Amino acid sequence: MSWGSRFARWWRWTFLLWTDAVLVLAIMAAAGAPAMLAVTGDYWRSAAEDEVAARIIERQDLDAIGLNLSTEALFVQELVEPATTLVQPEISRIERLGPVQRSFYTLPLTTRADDEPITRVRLVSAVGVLDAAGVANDHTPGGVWISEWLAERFDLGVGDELSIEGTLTADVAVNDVVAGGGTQGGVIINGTYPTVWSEDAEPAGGFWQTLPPVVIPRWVAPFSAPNFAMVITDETTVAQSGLSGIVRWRAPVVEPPTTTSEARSFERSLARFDRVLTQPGPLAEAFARLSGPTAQGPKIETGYDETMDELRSATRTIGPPMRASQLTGLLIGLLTVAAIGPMLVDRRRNEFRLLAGEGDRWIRLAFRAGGQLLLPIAVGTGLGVLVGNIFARTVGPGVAVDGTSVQWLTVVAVGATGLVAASLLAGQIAQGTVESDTRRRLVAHPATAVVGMLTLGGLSALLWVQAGEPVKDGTAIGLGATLLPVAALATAVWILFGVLRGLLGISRAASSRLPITLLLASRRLLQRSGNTRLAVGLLGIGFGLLAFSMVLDAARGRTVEVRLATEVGGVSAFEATGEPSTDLPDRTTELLLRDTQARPGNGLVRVIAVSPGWEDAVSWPDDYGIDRQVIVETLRARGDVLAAVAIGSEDLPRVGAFGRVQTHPYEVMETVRSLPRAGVFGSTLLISAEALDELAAARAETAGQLEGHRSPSLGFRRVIISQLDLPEIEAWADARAVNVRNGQWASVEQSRPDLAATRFAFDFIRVVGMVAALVGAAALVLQLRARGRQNALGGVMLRAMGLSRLRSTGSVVAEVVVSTTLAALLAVAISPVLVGRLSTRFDPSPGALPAVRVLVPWAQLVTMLVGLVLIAGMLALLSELQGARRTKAEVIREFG
Amino acid sequence: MSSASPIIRCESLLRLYDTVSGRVQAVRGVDLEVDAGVVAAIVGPSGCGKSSLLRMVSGIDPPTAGRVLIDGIDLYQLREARRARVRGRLLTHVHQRPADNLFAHLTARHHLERLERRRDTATIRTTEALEHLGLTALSDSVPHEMSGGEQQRLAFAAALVAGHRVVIADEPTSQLDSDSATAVLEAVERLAHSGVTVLLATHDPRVLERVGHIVALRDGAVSSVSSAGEQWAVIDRSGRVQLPAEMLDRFPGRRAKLVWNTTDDIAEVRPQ
Repeated sequence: MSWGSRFARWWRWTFLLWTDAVLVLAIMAAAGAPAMLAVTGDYWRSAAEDEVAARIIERQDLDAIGLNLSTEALFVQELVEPATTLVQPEISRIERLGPVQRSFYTLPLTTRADDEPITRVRLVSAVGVLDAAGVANDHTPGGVWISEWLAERFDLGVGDELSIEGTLTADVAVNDVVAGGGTQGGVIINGTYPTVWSEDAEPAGGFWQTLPPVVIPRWVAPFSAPNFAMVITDETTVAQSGLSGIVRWRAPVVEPPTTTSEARSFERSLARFDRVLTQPGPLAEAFARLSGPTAQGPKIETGYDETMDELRSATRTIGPPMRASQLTGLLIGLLTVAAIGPMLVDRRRNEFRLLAGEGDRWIRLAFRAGGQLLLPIAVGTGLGVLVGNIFARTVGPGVAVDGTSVQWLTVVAVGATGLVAASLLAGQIAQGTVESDTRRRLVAHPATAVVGMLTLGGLSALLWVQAGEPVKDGTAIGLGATLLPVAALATAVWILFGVLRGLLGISRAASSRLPITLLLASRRLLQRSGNTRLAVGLLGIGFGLLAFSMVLDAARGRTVEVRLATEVGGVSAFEATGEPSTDLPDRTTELLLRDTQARPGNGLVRVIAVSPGWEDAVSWPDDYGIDRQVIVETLRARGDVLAAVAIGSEDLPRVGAFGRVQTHPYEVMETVRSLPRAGVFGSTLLISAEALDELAAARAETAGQLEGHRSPSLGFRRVIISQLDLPEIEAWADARAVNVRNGQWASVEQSRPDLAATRFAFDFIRVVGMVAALVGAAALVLQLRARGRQNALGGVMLRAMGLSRLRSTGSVVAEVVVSTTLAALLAVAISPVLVGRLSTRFDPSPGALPAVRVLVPWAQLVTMLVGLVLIAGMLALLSELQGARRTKAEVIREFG
Repeated sequence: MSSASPIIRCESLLRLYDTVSGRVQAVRGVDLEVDAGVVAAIVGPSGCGKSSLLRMVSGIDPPTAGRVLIDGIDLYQLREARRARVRGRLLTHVHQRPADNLFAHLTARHHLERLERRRDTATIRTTEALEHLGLTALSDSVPHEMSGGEQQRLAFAAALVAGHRVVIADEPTSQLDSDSATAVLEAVERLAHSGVTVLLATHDPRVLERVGHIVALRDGAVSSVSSAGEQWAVIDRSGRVQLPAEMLDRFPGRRAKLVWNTTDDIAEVRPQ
C-alpha cells in the first residue's frame, strides 16, 4: 500500500472527529479549562505579588530606600572631584533614582569660642541643608552656621569667630584651609538655625523620621545619635579643608517600583552598581586614593535591602497557597480533559470496537485516540490561554497581561498531560468496547465502584484530619486544604447518586404512585449514565467551590473586619503624648492603656481605662457578643473595688489588683472574648477611668494626700480612637498642638500585605469553582444532546402510549432539575462545614480573637442556586424542544 | 456435525448475567462443534441465548463456565490482550447492524487494504475479494454510500482478505431486504467455498433454506440439531433432552411417563 493511501487513511481517521462539531467543541472546552486555569493562576499569583510589592513599597520612605554611597575621605579637591566624576554616571545609570547629591561630614573636631573649647563639633555640608535646617540670616558663601542651642550655650552670634582644631591629615594648617571661607585663623559665624531636637524629646524613633534626611542623614555613622554641635558650612569650605571625614553621594528613589518584577529589577541594578564599585578599575582606584590605604572601602547602604527582604518574605507567603489553589484547579481541569477519553470512545464506539475486535492493543488504541485528540486539544489549549488572558485582563485582579507572568512550560505540560491522560484512558476503555453492550449494561462492577468510593472517601477523610490540625502559620493553606473541598464535594456527590439510586430502587413500588412526570424522571435517574453523573458531579463540585469560596470570603472578611475593629478600635487611632485631651471631636474618645507585669494574672496584662461615652466612639461589631450597655453598666464602681471586664482571658484572677506603687483592687464582673483595642494582647482588663480616679481619691488617707491627689491614669499611655478618618484627626491634633504618632487606619490595615495571600488564594478558588461549574454545565449540555436521541425515541414511544408531549418533556426537565438541585443543595450544605474545618488555614492570624466565625451568605447562595437550577432546566427544555421538532417517523427511522 | 477436527468447539458453555432483578441464565451447558468450511446456523426464539452464545464463541464475552476452542486454541485460557490478538487473527464477528461492522471514514478498498497489509499471508487480495463479492464498483465508496446488504458483503469480504478461518455473524440479514439478503447469503456461500467456517444466528427462513447445519437453541440450551435434512435431539452431559416446543401442550401438568425399551434401544415419552 502506498504512503499516499496510508496518509489518506490517517487523515480521514484524524478528521473523522471533526464531523461531530459538538464533540470537538466539548474537547476544546475541556482542554481549554486547565490551560485557562494555568494562565489565570499565574496572573493571579503575579497580581498578588504585585499588590503586596506595591503595598510594601508605598509604605517606604523613598529617601531611605534610595542609594547611599559613603566613604572615608580626605577632603582635598584633587581627590574628591575625580571620584565624584567617575561615580556619578554609574549612579545615574540606576533607574528610578533621582539626582545625585553629595555631602560632607567631618570627623569630630574641637572648636574654640573665646578660648572655651567646644568638643564634638562636626562640619557638615550638603546641598539644601541650609534651607532644610531653616538657617537664619544670609546664605552668603563662606563661614558657618551653628544651632541656636550652641549659640545660647556659648553665647555666640553672627560675626563671631570660631577657631577649629581638627586632626589634619593633609600637610596644611587648618586655619589656612578654612581661611578661604572666613577670617584667617578661624571661621566666621554667618547665622544660626533652630535646634533640630530638644533634650526632652527622645532621639530614637520618630525623631529621625521627622527631619529632612539632608540634615540628619541615615546610614552615616556620625549621626547615629543626636548631635547638638552640628556646624553647617558650604561645600567649598569643607571640601577643600584638608580635614578627614565622610563624603556621601545620595540618590533618593524618585520613581518607586510598583510591581514585583520592577522591584527585582531595581534590586539587580543596585547589585550591579555594587559590583562596579568593587571591581578593579579607575573608579576603584579613585576611591582608594580618596580614602587612603588604611581606610575601609566605599560602603553602599540602602533600606531597599530590608524592603526586598520583606517583599520576599511576603512573596513566600503568597506562593504556596496560590500554587495550591492553582494546582487544585489544574487537577480538576486535567480530570476534565481525561474525561474526554471515555467521551470520545462513547461517540466513536463503533470504530474503536472494530479495532479492538481486530486485536489492537490498548496502547495502539490510545495512540489512535491521541491522533484524533491532538488537534482539538492543541486548539483548545490555545483558546484556553486566550480566554485566560482575556479573563485576567477584564475580570482579573489587575496585572499587566503581557505573558511575562505566565509559566508557558506549565501550560504546554498541562496540554500534553491532558492529551496523554485522555488518550491512555480512551485506549483502556476502547479495549473494553469489544465486549457486548448487553454484558456491560447487565454486569455491574461493584468492586470497582467500591474501590473508587473508598479511595475518594479515604482521601477526603485523610485531608479532613490533616486540615484540622492546628497550624502555627495562618497562611499554611497548602494543597491539602485546597484539595479537601474538591475531594469532599466529589465524595458527597458520589454518595448522593448512590443513595438516590438505592432509595429509588427500594421505593420502586412506592414511586409508581408518583405523578407520571416524576415517575419517569425517577426511573431515568435510576438508569443514569456515567457521563451524566460526571456532568452533574462537575456542576455540583463547581457550585460547591463557588459556595465554599463565598462562605469563606464572608467569614474571613467579617473576621478581618472585627479584628481590625478590635485592633484599631475605630476607624482611626493614634497615640497621643502630653496632657489628656479635653475637647475631643465628635465620635472620638481617649483610651488609657497600661501594660502591667505579673499582676494581675500570671502573664503580661493590659489595663484599659475608658472614659464615659467611650462606647459610642469605638467600633462595636456584633461579633463581640455582648451589648455595649451591659459593659457600661458593669464598669460602674462598686464600693472599694473596681468593676472590671476581663477580655480574652481565662486565667485572669477574678479578684485581684494592679499597679506597683499604688495598687488598685478590681473584681471581674464580666468576661468577653474581644473588645475594641484589646487586640491580640494576652489578657486585658477593662475598667472605667472615672471609677479609677474615684477609687484612688477615696483611698487617700489624709486631706493632704487628697489635695495633692493626681489621677493614677496619668501613668497610662493615651490612645485617641475616632470614627473620623485619620487626616481629620491629625488636623484636629495639629490645631491644638497635640503630639500624635503611630497612627492607625482600619481601612489601610485591611490591605496589609499579610492579608493579601489568603485573599488572593481563595479568590482564585472561586475562579476554579466558576470554571468547574461552567465545564460541568457544558458537559451537561453535551450529555443532554447525546441522550437527546434516546430520549426522543422514549418520548415517541411514550406518546404512542398516550402520554402528552408536555408531560414527556416535563419528565426530562424534572430529571435534570432534580439532580442538579440535589447536587447544588448538597454543595451548599457542605460548604459551611468545610469552611468551619478549614477556617484556621485561611486565617492570617490563627491565634487572634475573635476566631473565624462561619457566615453563610444565604441570599447570594440561594440566588445562585435558583439561577443554576433554572439554567439547567432551560438547557434540558431546549434540548427536548430541539428533539421534538423531528417527526415520529424520523425518530423511529433513525433507530432502524 | 461432529468431526475429528472441528474448528469451533464449545464445551459446557454457561453464561449467567447478574441483573438488577436477579441472576439470569442466558446459556446453559451448551456443547457445540462446527467443522471447517461449514455454514452453521443457530436458531431459536428471541432471548434463547443465540447472541450470548455467539459472543462467547467470538471471544468477546467470557463464559461463566465452559470452554471455547477455535482451531484448537482455548480462547478463555488466554489473557485478554492475547485473546484479542488471537481473535483478530482467527475470526471475524459480523454484527447485526451493517454499519456496526465498518469504519465510517474508510472506503471499501481502504477497508480491505488495511487488512491485507496486516496479513502478509493473505491468499485473497483486495481486488479479488471485491470482485468475489460483487463490490468492485463500490471500491471507492464509504459505508454511508452503500446499502445495508453491500455493507454486510463488505464485512464478509473483509473476513476473506483478513484470512480469517471463522466468521461469526449475528443475524446478518435481519435488517436487509430480500435482494440484499440473497446477495449476502451468496457471499456467505462463497466464503464457505473458500474454506471459511461461518456460524450465524438467524430467524430468517431464507437463510435456513440455504444452510446445511442448524442448531436449535431454547432457553439457553441446544434442543436439536439438523443436518442433511435430518433433525436430531441433543442429549446433554446430564442426559437431558428437550422436546420440541409444539409438543409441550400434549403433556398437561408437564409430567410424562417414560418407557424404556433397552432391548430395542427405544425410549418413549408418553402423556400421563
